[in-house]
Amino acid sequence: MSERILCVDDMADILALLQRFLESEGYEVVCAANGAQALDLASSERPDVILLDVMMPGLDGIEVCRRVKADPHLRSIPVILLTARGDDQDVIRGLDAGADDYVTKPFKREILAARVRSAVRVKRSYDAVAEINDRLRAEIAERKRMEFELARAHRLESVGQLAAGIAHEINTPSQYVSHNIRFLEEAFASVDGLLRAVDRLLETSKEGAVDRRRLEDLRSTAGEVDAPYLAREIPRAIRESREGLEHVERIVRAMKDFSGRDAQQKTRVDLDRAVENALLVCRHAWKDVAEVTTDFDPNLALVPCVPGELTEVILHLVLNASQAVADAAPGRAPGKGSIAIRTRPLPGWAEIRVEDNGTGIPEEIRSRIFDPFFTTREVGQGIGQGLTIAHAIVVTRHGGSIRFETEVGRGTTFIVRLPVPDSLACEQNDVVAGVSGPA
Amino acid sequence: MSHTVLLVDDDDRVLNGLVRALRGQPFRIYTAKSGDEAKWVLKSQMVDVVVADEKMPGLSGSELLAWVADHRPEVVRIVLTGHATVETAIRAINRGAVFHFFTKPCNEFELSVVIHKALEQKDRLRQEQGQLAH
Repeated sequence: MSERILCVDDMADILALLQRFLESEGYEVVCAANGAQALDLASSERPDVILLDVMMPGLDGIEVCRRVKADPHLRSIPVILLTARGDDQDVIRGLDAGADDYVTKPFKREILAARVRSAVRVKRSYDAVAEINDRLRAEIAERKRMEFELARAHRLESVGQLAAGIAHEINTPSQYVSHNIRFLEEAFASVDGLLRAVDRLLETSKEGAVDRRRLEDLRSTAGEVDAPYLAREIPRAIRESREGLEHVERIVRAMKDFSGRDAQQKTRVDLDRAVENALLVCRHAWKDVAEVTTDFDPNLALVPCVPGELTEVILHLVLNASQAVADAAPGRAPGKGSIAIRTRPLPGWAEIRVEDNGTGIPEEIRSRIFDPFFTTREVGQGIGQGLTIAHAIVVTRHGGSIRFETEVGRGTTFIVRLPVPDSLACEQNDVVAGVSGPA
Repeated sequence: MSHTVLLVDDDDRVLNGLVRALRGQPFRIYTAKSGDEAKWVLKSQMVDVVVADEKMPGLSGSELLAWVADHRPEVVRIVLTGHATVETAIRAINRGAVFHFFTKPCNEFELSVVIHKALEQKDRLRQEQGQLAH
């Protein structure tokens, strides 16, 4: 396909000359007799090069050049100005207006041809770069979209992985509440029997004299019932059942807080509560392998963040810590490992530390632990997205930082910092800035 | 002759619930809060049936029952688990040769039925062995 040249000159014979010459060089030529026409044709024909006479009535070449270069759709087209000999000022003004080159009239054909060829080369490289840019831009948009999808998939996967553990957390109180109710049912039957015996005694003793048979009857019923045992165990059964149901309530609430995150609103969040929710939701993962302690600084202000996302960050850190501690169990003295979570305020920041005495992170993988899909776990035990997601939430969505200190054989501490504005007069419900993803 | 059942679970409330629900049953109940404590009881007492929770810190239910199979084979073994997966069941069966396998929440009536069946089986076996000895 031959390149297209737009020639602009108010003198018809020069236009004809240019057209004939350029067509003989193999170019396709479009002509304009004035500035306005030039701009129209530049937009509609999208030439590869514009040959532009400077001296024209109405819109002169310099102005046309300026407008072409100001138009984002046209600015990539090289402009060669046709100037009169001796007109240095025009040349300077033209180049300053954005022209790429100039040819003085009368022009030597070879020179004109060479300059046109040069301009075409410039246009071609520009086009190539523009195409690469477009592709990159599309790739970045695609990557952002995929990250969003991945985050969502991982959220679902987390919920799925947690579901089995949560089910167990709920099944356990469910079992003993049910057993306690069975016991209370029988206990009531015993107490009922006792009360009836009392009734019978009272019934037959209305006159004042006590019926001995009824008295014996009551005594033996009381003996069967084991009243001291009931007096002790009935209140305990009720109390323990209540505690079990409270536990279920807390877990369900924590799960609700954690998974109801499609409202992408930043609010001021009580860090302690976010940590506690995280611990509740993954309790089954650390319960048997580690003692978890928390140390919340009372001076920590409410932190602006997306609450469920902060819980998710802590969740992943605790899951990692649990795994590390579990892995270290064979080599450690008997007893559970430990995970400690501490919060404290720093100027401009809220800091959360999650420290474990697990295996520590080996030197060779330290640079990769935040990489997507990097995992040291077996197939089917998690897809290695936890730390990646935590990193994305802390750094990208909240402008904070996450790093770690570790020693193989001794343990690891993850340190998360979230920005806290000095002014506490921030608006509630600031919408998170820069969230990208499908509408 | 009175029978004895040992219940093993790290959660106090679970143990209490089980003990209360099995209260009317014609067997004595011992409890242990860990695999190690259970071993201690088994070494020092006559126990007919052990019912153990799978998920405990330290020794798991199936690990405990594997030990019981090796050291106290005459004790009937039952496991309770909240994570009902095929692998857990197979592992429990292969390692500890459990008599029965329950998922949580476990119905106390079904548990007592299974315990009774286990005890009957034991008594029958003992009788047969007694007869063979003659």
